[in-house]
Amino acid sequence: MSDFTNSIKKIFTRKNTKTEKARKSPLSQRNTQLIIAIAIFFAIMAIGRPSTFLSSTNVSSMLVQIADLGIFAMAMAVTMIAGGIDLSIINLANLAAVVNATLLKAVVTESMSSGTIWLLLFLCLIISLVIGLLGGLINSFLIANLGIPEILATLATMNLYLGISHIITGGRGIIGFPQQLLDIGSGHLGFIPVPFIIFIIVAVVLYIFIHRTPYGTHVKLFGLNQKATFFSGINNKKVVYKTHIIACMSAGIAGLLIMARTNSATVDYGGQMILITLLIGVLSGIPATGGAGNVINIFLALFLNQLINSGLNILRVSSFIREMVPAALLIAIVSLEYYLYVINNRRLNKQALEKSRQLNGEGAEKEAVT
Amino acid sequence: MNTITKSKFTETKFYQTLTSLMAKNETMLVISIVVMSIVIGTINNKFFAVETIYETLLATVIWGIVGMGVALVMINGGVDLSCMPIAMFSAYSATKIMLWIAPNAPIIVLFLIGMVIGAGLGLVNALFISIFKIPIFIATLALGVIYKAVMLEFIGNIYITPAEMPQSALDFSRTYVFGGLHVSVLIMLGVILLTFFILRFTVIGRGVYALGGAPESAERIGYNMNRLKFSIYIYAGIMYAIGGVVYVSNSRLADPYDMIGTELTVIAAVVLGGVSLMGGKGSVWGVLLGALLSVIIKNNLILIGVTSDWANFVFGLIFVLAVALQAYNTARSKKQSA
Amino acid sequence: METNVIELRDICKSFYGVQVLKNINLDLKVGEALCIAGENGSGKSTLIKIISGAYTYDYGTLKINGREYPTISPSQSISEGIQVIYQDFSLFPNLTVADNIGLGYHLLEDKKLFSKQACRKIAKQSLQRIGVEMDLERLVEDIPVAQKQIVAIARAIMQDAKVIIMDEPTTALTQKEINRLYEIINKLKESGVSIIFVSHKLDEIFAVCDRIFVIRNGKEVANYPVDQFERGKLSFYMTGSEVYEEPFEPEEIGEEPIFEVNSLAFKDYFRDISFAIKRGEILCITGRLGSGRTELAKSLFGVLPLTEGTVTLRGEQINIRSVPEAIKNKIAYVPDDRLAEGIFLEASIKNNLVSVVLNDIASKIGFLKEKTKDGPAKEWQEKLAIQANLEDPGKSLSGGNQQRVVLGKWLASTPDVFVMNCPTVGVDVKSKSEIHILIRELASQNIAVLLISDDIGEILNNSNRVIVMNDGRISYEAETKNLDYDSLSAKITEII
Repeated sequence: MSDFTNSIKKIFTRKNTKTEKARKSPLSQRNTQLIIAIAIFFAIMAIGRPSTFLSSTNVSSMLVQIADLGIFAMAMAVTMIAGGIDLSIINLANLAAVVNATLLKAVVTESMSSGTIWLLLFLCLIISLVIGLLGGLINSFLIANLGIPEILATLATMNLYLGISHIITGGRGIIGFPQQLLDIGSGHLGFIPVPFIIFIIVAVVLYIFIHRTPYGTHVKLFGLNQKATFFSGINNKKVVYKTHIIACMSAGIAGLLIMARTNSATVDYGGQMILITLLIGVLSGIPATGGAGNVINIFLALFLNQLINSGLNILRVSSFIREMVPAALLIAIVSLEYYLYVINNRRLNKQALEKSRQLNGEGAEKEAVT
Repeated sequence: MNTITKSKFTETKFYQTLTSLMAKNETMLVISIVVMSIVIGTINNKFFAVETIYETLLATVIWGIVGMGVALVMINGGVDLSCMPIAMFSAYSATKIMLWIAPNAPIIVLFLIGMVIGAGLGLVNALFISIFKIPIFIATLALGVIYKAVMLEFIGNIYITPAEMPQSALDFSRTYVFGGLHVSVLIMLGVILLTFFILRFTVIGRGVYALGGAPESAERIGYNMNRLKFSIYIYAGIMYAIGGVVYVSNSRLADPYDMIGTELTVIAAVVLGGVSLMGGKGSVWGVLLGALLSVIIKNNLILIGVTSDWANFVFGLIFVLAVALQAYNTARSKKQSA
Repeated sequence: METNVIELRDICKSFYGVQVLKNINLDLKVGEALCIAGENGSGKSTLIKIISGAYTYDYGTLKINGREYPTISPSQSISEGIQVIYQDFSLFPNLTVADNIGLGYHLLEDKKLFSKQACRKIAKQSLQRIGVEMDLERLVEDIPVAQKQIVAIARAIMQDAKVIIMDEPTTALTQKEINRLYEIINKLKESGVSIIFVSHKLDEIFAVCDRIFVIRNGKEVANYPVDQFERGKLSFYMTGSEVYEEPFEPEEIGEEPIFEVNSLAFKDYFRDISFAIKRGEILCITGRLGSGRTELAKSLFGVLPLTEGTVTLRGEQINIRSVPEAIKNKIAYVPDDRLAEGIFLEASIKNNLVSVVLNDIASKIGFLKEKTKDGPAKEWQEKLAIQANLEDPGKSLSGGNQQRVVLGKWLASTPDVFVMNCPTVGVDVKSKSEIHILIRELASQNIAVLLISDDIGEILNNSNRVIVMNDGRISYEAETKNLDYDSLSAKITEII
């Protein structure tokens, strides 16, 4: 083969045109934009309300709030990179929580030793992951094998998982779990809350998937052009399965985390969260049609969202408006991105036109045919 | 070479009409409804009483009317999650406005105010979808949340009690025709007929299908895309508003927290009704039958021994089965034609 | 009377900064049949879409029937009497044949109500004019591709058009249907309708056109009445250089076939396909759209799993039931629709080049660093002389460079069999001849090359054997050294 590849080298000629490297200002990079936005928000809040905003309880509670939302946002982001969506993740997390809660309620007794409870909690983690796996399998089967559009498929299973939770609990919330679980939810490792550390672990795992495996490139290419991935021998079904299994298993962990944090398991926790996860995905620079994404940016977008949220909290904005803000931001950002695309296209075309007119003016019509 | 030596039977006209009839989603729905009715009827012999049938129809009204709008958007190729927020926004605001300016006006005024508001919100939807090219799902999801918040913050968040409701709305809720059929059933039928007429017999109606099937081609043969999309979303907004006003009037209560959150019931009915998941195909009668079937199932679950805890699950399962069945049918018919 | 229906002055158009039309000047007279010729990617389709209002132009003036349009919408263009038969047909798969043909009439007449009867009537008349009968109530998604093209033609000719633009309208038609189309065009001309006929097939151009307008790289390069145009010069104008390719002659043909197929069949699309490619050979398959050649190529790549027949690679029988399985068996495939199936326009060149081999370059436990991709990507970028930054998106490249990227991603997987479906469509002439040399190099390196092409010159110069497919079967097979341009094109015309 080496002979061959060397001979190929002689076939193709290099034109003597210099390739112009597109100059990209760092401002056009999403992570710079996010950092600037975070810095501005942070500065405003830190100057405006130093006592409340910079208090260690506020920072700590922000980190705790980020934890489960963060896992959901990461899970949603993976499906968005694949050009899709998974609306069922939050109900699946609730299902995992409800199942584990029921189990703990049934099994745990006062006299149980701490070791046994830890073992049980480990079992709960396994159960959460298995529920996530099953949910991911069902979702992917509907999407990849039956060809149902992701929105409708996951909208349908979202209801299905809610229904199963309802059957288990009869719609009632379950409260009161072993202290060991609550310790996870409220514990600190040094200054950092344990839930946040769990989120970081999930984020690192996802980072490895997205940025350090062939799957990461597969899923981006899949998000861009499913026909071309098919013709490149990338197994599209496998990509769908992996994506939704990753998302749903993360959701399973989030379910357990919510239990630990709130000391309760309810069938309909976090109803508004889907929209916020979509917002974070879009904020992080994932195009509305998928195909690109960066875990670091998602992380930054998550922080930005949390800052905005805390800001609204401190400013005592009415709860209705607070619910509306992520929706309005989502719409605004997607609209703005489209608008900038149009503007940029127009600018580039104008440049091309001017360049060609200059050439014509100089009479540099080299390709004239006689 | 099985395809070449087909059996004689498959070439008979009878077989062909039979298969084409069976392939029709409406036929399957009618069969399902009949089977369900027989099952429920044998358990509860009151099921076939005229009153029960009228009641079932009345319960279908909201889903049927709102379903027209949702179906239109889905034929255009998207899922509209802002349907119920628009319905509630329009109905609640219309009631407030009417109480404020003309509390004694006839019911038609309430409808008209609602429809104007619904059209306006549909226009906002169209603006973001058509001009800013936001994916339909994301736009309607976010706008739905915004409509709800705007209503609760700026229009009101306290429900209007039956005692405060306009008299004409209360009268409307008690208007029956044909010995017990509620008048809103006629409104639903009117709305369905109108939508049917538009889709079948107007150029813009055919454009809805053309747009759903091949958007680029629709533009190339001379449809004005913006006009077409604005028409779809404004019409859908009006449908939602009618549904909302009917709902508020019938329940004699305008509760701004009501209705919102039941979007999925409508979407499920529309999918069950055979509107294509990919856009481009679907009929209004299918939507009506889909709505009817889901109401029959929902209203009679307890009767056939399903407890209310299971209701959500059964609904979820029906939704999953509806989408799965439709996707399966599409795949099969594609395979046959290939 | 010499009036112009369409006048273009200095028309320029760019897409995302890439200029595809440069100062085009064009006049179309009443009753004139103008041929726009040019290679794929030369800008001729863009030019048409500007006239039809599908694209807006950046600069210049556009006059239709004497009226100036700074911007023009498709509906304005249609109401000025311009009808287009698009290359991709632009039909509605979910509507019936009758609706497809009749809907445009309703829009043109600005009707508010839609009449099914009117549609049927118009469709019937229109199809009769072409001399074709078909079931008006069938959905377009269910009819074969040749009928789709006829529906597209029928839709354009039924309306009282002043100008009919035909963008390669004969790709799926039989000779009989093509002759019928010529008759229609001549009749239309007599009644004062102007025709713009886009094609690069010489026979067609000389059969129907009065004038030839050649476009290359977005620029006008020739504009002559057809009787002053030298037949042999067309390819020179289109390509810009007198490329002389040494006809391909295999260095030495091996005894044993590398790749052999026996009585292949896929449903109704093709059957009884048998051929063998020996070492050093390049086999070419041609045939019109719908002849089964594309399906055959896709079957060999596992896209449409074969329903019958056996495939043998280097003496071993292999199964190709899916694309990954085909790749595992070292079969590579260059798709004909490069933009949709070949290249990831928005992805970086690097990711494009490694897309096939990602799993192979990953570490044993399945990790893949971003840097690991640089190695193979750089290697193939250099070998194929792709002039760009590896991080630039595929869409920033020219057609020729895009095709190099597609070839590169397959070469990286070291294939044994290379199925190339129209690999030089839409690439500039220089890249084209480079790709041809590459194909020969592949053949000399013990790789079985199956070339699928429409371009008779390309077939003759770059294969030693040619198979003509028609109606799903092999209807002609010959050594190319016994053929010349005229004899092969005559043969193809005779068959189909």
